[in-house]
Amino acid sequence: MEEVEEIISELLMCRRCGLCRDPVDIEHGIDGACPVWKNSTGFETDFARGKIQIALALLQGKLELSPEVAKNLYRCTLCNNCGTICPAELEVSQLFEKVREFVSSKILVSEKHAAIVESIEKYGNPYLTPSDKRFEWLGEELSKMPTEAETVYFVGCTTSLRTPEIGKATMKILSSANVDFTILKDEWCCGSILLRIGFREKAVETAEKVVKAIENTGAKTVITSCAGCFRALKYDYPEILGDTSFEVLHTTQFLDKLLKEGKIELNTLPEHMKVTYHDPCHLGRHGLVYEEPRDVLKQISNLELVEMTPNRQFSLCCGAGGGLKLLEGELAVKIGSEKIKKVSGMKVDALVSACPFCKYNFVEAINKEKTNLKVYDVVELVAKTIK
Amino acid sequence: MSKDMKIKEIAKRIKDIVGEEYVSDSIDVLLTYSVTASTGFDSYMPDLVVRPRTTEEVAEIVKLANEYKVPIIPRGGGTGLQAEALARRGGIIIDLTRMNEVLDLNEENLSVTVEAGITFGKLDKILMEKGLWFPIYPESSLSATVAGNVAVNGAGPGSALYGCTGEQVLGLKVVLPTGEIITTGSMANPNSPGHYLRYAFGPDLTGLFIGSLGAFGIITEVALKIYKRPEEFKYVTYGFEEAKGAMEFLRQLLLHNISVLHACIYEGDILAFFIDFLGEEYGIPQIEWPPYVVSLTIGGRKDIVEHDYELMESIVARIGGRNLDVPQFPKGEWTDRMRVYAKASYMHPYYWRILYHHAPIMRWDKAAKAIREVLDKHGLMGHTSGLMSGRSYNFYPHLYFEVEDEEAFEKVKEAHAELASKLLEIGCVPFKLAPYWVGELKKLKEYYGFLRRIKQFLDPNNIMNPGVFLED
Repeated sequence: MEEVEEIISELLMCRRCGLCRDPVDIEHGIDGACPVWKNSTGFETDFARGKIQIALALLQGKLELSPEVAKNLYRCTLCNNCGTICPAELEVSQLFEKVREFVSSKILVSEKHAAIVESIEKYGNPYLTPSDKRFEWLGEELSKMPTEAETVYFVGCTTSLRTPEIGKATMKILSSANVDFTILKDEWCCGSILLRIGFREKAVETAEKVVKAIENTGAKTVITSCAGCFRALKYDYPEILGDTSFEVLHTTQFLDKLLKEGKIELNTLPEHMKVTYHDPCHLGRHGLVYEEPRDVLKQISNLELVEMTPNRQFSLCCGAGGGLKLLEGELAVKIGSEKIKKVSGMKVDALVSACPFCKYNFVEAINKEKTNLKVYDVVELVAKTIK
Repeated sequence: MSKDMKIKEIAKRIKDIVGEEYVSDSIDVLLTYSVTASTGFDSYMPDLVVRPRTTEEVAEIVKLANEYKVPIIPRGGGTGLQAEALARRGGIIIDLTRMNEVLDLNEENLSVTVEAGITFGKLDKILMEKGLWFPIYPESSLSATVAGNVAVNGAGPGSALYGCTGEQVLGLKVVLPTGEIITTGSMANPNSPGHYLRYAFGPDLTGLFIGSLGAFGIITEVALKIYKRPEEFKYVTYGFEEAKGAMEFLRQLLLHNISVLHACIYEGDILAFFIDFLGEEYGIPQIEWPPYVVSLTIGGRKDIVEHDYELMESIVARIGGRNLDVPQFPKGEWTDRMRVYAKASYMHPYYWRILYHHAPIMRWDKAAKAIREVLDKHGLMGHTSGLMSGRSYNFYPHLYFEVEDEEAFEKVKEAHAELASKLLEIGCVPFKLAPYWVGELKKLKEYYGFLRRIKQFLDPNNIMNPGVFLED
C-alpha cells in the first residue's frame, strides 16, 4: 500500500471548490457529476469533497475509524466523473481506492465484503455461486472449447451468472466470424471488485490465477464483455503484476475491428430501432473507449443512434460500480432509475450499453420504474443482424 | 441545560420540521461542514447541519434558533473563499442546496425567480432552453449558488457590462433573523404578476441583504433580470505600454457604452501565470507580450457588436494601444467562463487567502502596485488578477502559501491585514462584509455604528451568522 503520508498529500490537493457536487455547463456537455449526491440525502458526506475530508481525518487520526464512518467512503461508485471535472486534476477514484485499502486493512466495513472475498476464493465469482454453475448457459459448447487459441474470450462473472444472453451473443458473433478463440474452462473472477473495495492483496492472488490461465492458452489477444474486466486486465494488471503477454480488447473494440476488416457482415434490423448509448465508466472514462461502441452501432442499418446529454467523458454512471451495488443495492438501483427516466423521456426504443453490470442494474431499474424501455448490450444488437 | 442536551433537543425538534433524514449531528457530517473552499482559514465544527426544502422550513428553524439562542449559518455551495459560511461560534449550518429549483421563469416581466440553492450552471441550462440569459458568471458558477452569490455580491465574466450580481437583482424572499418572511421589490405586493421592479415601496430593502453574508437574514429566493442570449461575440486582445493606457481604455469603453461583456488587465506575473497554465489549452500563440494586456469579449446583437468593434478600434488607436491579434486569449476566457477561474486557481499546488475588493477603474495601477508591494515585502507569491465590473475593477488577488506550512500561513495573514488597510487608503472598497475587513470597518465609526444598530435591531439575539462581525 502506498505510504499513508503520500495519500494524505494527494488528498490535501483538494482545495474544496465543490465542482464535484453537481456541475452543469451545457455548452461543454457537463450536466451533473455525482450520482450518489443526487440520489441521497445530499449532505457533504455524499460527494467527493466531503468524502475527501473524511478520508483525511481518518488517515490523520483525527476521526475514529468505524464501519459507520467508513461507509461514507464506500457510498461512491468510483465513476470518477468528479475526477474528470476536478480543476485540481485529482484522480479521485484512484485515491478513494487507496483510502479503501487503508480502511479494509484496519477494519471489516461490512459482512458483505467478507462474503464476496470468501466467495471469490472458494468459487471464483462474487455471486456466492458454485463454480460448476458458471458455464451452465454454454451447455455442450464448453467441452468443445480448445485448450489453445489465438484469442481468449474472457466471459466474466456477471455475464455468466447474471446476463448470459451477452455471452451467447458474443459466442455467436465470434463463431460466425471464424475467430480462432477459446474460453477458459476454469475462468476465475478478474478481481476488479476486490480492487474497488480495497482488498488489493486478494486481487493480486486472483489476477495471477487469471493471467496464468490465459497464458496457458498461448493467446495473444483477450476480449472481455465486461467493462470492469476490461479495466482490470488492461490497466490494473500491468500495475499490480507488471506487463502481461497479451493484448486486451473490449468486445466492442474487437467487433469494430472485425467490421472494419470486413470479417463480418450485418443484415438490416427487421424493424427500425432508435437507441441511445450509455458509456460504462470502466470502458469510457477509465479506458477511453468512446467511439468503437458507437461505430459498431452505426454499422447496423435500420438502427438510429441518438446521443444523450451528458455523454462520453461526462456520462453519468449507471449506479452499480465501485461496490455500491453490493453495499447499498437500493441506492444503486435508484441511480439507475434516474438514468432510465431520463432515457425514457428521449423516446427511444432501447438503451444500449457495453457492460453486463450496467445492464444488470438498468434491468432492475426498469423493473422498478415499470417502463417499456429495453436494455441491450452492443453485442446483442449485432448478433441479431449477423448474416 | 448542557450544550449537548440543548443541541439534542433542537435536533429532535428540527427533525419534526424537515424530516429525520435531513438533519444530522453525526461527527462525520459535522466534520465535512467544518470547512468550505476557504483554504486560508481554520476549520470550525458546527453543532448541527440541516437541509431544509422550503422557505417556511427555514423560518421555523430560525425561530427555534432564537428560542435556544444558537447561532445559525446559512450555506450555499460552500464555495466562499473568505470564511463566509463557517460556524465560527458553532451552531446550526443551514445547507440551502436542497432548494434548487426555478420557481418562475417570467417571460412577460423578463425576470426569473429561483430558489436559494440553484447553481449558476443549472440556471444557465434552464434559460438556454428558451434562448434566455442571465449575463453574469461568477468564478465558481458550477458550484456556487445564486443566493450565496447575492449574499457576497459576486461578479464574473459578464460583469463588465452588467455590473456585480447585486445589480441584476429585482427582489428577494428573506427569512429575517426573528423568523418572519418578507419579499422585497414589486413582489411585496401580492398582486404583482411576478418580479419586475426592485425599488418598490420606497427604500431599497433588497440592497440591505446584498453582500450581507446572511448577517441580516437568510435569502431563500432571488429574482433576477434576464435577457436574450447574445447572438454575436468578438474576442480581442489589446496591448499597452503603460498602465495608464489600459485604464483609460476601460474608462473609454464605459464612456462610449461599448457592449463589453468581459475585460481583464493582465500584467507581468499574472500574464505569465495564465499563459503557462492555460495558454496551450486555449491555443494562445507565443508572442512578445507588451507590459499591459487587455483581454476582452464584446457580445450582444450582431449590428451592435460590429459597430462597437469599429468604435473600439478607433479608441485604441487614439489612446496609443494596439490590437495584438490574439483572439484565442479572450475566447478561451469567455467560452470557458464557468471553469476558467477554477482551473487557474487549482492547477497549482498552493492554498491561499484572497482579498476581494473593488478599485476605481482609474486607480487600477495603484491597487495593483499595493498588492505587489505587500507580496514583495512579505516574500510571498501571489497575483493581481481581477476583472472589470461596471465602473470599477474587481480585484481578487491571491496570497499563496504551501499546504500545512503554519509559518507561511501566519505570514499570509499578516500580509493580508496590511493589504486590506492599504487598499482602503487608496480608495478601494470591499463589496461584502468579511472578517478581515471588520478591523478596518471599525475605524469608520459612524458607518460601522449604523451597521451594528441595524444588526441589533434585526437580530436582537445575535444569532444570524455572527461570525461576519467577528474580527479575523
